Amino acid sequence: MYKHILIPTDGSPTADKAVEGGIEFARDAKARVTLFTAVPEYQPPSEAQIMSRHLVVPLWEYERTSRDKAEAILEPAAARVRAAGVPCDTSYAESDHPYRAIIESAENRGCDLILMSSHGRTGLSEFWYGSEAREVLTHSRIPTLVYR
Amino acid sequence: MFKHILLPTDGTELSRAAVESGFAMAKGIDAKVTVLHVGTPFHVFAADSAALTDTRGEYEGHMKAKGAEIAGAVEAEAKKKGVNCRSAFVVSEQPYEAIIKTARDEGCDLILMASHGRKGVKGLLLGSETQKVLTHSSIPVLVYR
Repeated sequence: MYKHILIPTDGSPTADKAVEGGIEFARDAKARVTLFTAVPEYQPPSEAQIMSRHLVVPLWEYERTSRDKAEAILEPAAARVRAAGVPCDTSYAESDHPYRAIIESAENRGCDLILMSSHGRTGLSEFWYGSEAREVLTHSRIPTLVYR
Repeated sequence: MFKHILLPTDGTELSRAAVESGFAMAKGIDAKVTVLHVGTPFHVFAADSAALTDTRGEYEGHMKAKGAEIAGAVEAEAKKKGVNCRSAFVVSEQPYEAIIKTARDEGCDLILMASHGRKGVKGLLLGSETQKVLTHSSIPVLVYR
C-alpha cells in the first residue's frame, strides 16, 4: 500500500511525535521514509540596512547556515528512523511557505503518503491542527495522515 | 502500530475509494477495520426528498435500508479482500461527533476518511465533516483523496 512516506518535521517536540509514529507505521507497512524540513528563504538586505551599514549576511553564508540548520533537525531524526531498520533519506528546501515545499517535495520524490504532526513550532495548542498541517491538507493531492 | 482503522463512509464515490484504500492498507499492516455509516435523523423541515415525502417511520426505514445496503456492499468487499471488517450504523445530527465517538468506543487508533463527502461543495478544498473530525479528534486522521 503506502511505500514511501514523507515526514515533514521542524524539529519541535510535537513534530517529533509524528516522526515516532511514522517510524512504527513505516516498519509495519514496510515503507521507506523521507524526512523533510523547510528553512526560511534568504531575505536580500534592504536599502536601509545597507545604508545604515547594518550587518549583511551574504547569500552563500546564509545558505551554509541554512544547510546546517536543516541537518541539525534532520540528522538526529534520520538516525532514529534508521535505527528502527527503516530505510530513510533526508531533504530540505528554502521556502517561506513550508506547505508548498512539503507538497512539492512529496510529489517530486513520488511519495504516496505525507505523515505529519497536527502542530509544529508555531501551532497554538488550542487549535487542533497547525497552520502548516491545514495548508498541506488543503492543497495536497497525496493522502495525508495527521498525527496528534 | 495501527491495529484498528475506522472508515467512515457516506456511500459517495470518493468515500468508497477511501474505504478501498483503507482495506488495502489494513491488509498491508494486518489491522482490522470498522466501517461506519452515519445516517441523518428525521426532520420535519428538510430538503432531502425522502425526508420530505415520508413519514418519520418510513424515513427511518429507508435510512436503515440504505445503511444496510452500504454496509452489505462494504462487508462483501472486505471478505473478498480478506480483511477483518465489521460495519456500524449510527444515526446522528453531527456526523463528525458520531465518527469520533465510535472511534473512541471501538478503540480505533486511526480514522481514515475521504477529503470530501456528500455535501462537498466542489470548490471547497477540504470537506466540512473531514475538517471537523480533524479539529476534534485526538486520534490520528488519514485524509484520502
